[in-house]
Amino acid sequence: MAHILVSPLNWGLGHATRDIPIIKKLLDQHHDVTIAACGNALTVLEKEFPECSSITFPDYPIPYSASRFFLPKFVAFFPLMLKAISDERKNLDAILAKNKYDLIISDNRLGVYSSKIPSVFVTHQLHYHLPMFFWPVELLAVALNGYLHGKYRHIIVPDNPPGPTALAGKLSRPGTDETKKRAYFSGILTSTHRQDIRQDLDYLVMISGPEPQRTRLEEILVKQIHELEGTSVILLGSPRNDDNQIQSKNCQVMAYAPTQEKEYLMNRAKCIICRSGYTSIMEIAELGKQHALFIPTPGQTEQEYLSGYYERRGWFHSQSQYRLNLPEDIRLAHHPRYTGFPVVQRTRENVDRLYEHVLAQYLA
Amino acid sequence: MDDLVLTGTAGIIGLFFVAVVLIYGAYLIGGLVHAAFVSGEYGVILIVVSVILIAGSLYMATGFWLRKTDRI
Repeated sequence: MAHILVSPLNWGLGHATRDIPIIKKLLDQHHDVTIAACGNALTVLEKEFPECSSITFPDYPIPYSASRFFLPKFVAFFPLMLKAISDERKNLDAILAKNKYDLIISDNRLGVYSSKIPSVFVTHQLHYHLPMFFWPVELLAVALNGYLHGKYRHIIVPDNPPGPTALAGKLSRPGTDETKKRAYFSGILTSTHRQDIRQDLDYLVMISGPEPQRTRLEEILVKQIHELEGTSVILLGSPRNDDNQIQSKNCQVMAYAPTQEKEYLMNRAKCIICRSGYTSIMEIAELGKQHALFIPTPGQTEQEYLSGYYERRGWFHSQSQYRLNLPEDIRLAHHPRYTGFPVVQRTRENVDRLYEHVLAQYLA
Repeated sequence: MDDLVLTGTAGIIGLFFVAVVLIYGAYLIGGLVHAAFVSGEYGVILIVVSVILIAGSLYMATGFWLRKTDRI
């Protein structure tokens, strides 16, 4: 029985939730898991795994911007990030000094690795996408990623290998030899399960992501949803809002849905309208949904790239929130030229394979 | 100091240095164009603008080529 330290980043819940199947697998194999995270990521994992010990382990400030100009703010955040990583390295030393660990799993936490303990890194972004004007920075980031990945034994990429079925496109394409020789393409990893139930909900709108863009999208969609025919549910993704309210006979607005209810709604939905964050992408792929409309968070280059990539591949329709015309965009989202994602292997098989091919060798 | 933090610090100093060089370069070119305008040497202005346009086009063309060939 081995002891594993799992440490996801707390920038949204996506990192924590994709680690759920990995932690479940480790527990199924009778290993001990300690969760080291902070904020909502820690809360979610503590709730999901009360049998695991946990440590509050602060990460980095989130450089989200109120405007479209995410990138300049992100650059200005570099010194703050560096300070946070420096603190993270010191905190990790203290954590490792208190307990013996056989493996460290870092989900996008740049400073969570050790030269003495095998460490693996989970990320779907081997390559950062930037506006073309910044191509020298994009090239530099590829080299920096190679340097960073050299700190880990394996880089676990929750995507199919590069090629026509890669859901993250160029983001999951290794750019350096350091990254290439360490990358393990596990396939999608999500805590959402497919249920064998009837699809009786026409539209599920999931509003998520950082403020204030979450509120802006809420205002846009709540105003336009009445123009759609059929039943719809809007998840505002904001637990602080008022209680659930019925918007009209065909539309229900819910401030927040617990994980299981959200999963149930996603399974019932014929069409999903959401941000093009990679967590939602993996959920949609896992459920095998054929119709979705993606609305990237303005200024988030990763989401903007993924939306464009799905358009080009003919998988899903995307629209900017500034140009959104819901009836027209929903009509386009149902156009036969959009095929949905190619059939991909499900999380259950992926996590079994990941354990067998990568994790088990460190957990004898 | 941890080598990851050291590399990050060097990167930030490098970025800052590049920004300073670019701003200083823009300042020098601005001064050159201004001096040429005041002295009526419009040929110099034409040359400077042409060089900037060519350099900018080459820069963007490199970006397009890198995208087109899937290097970035």
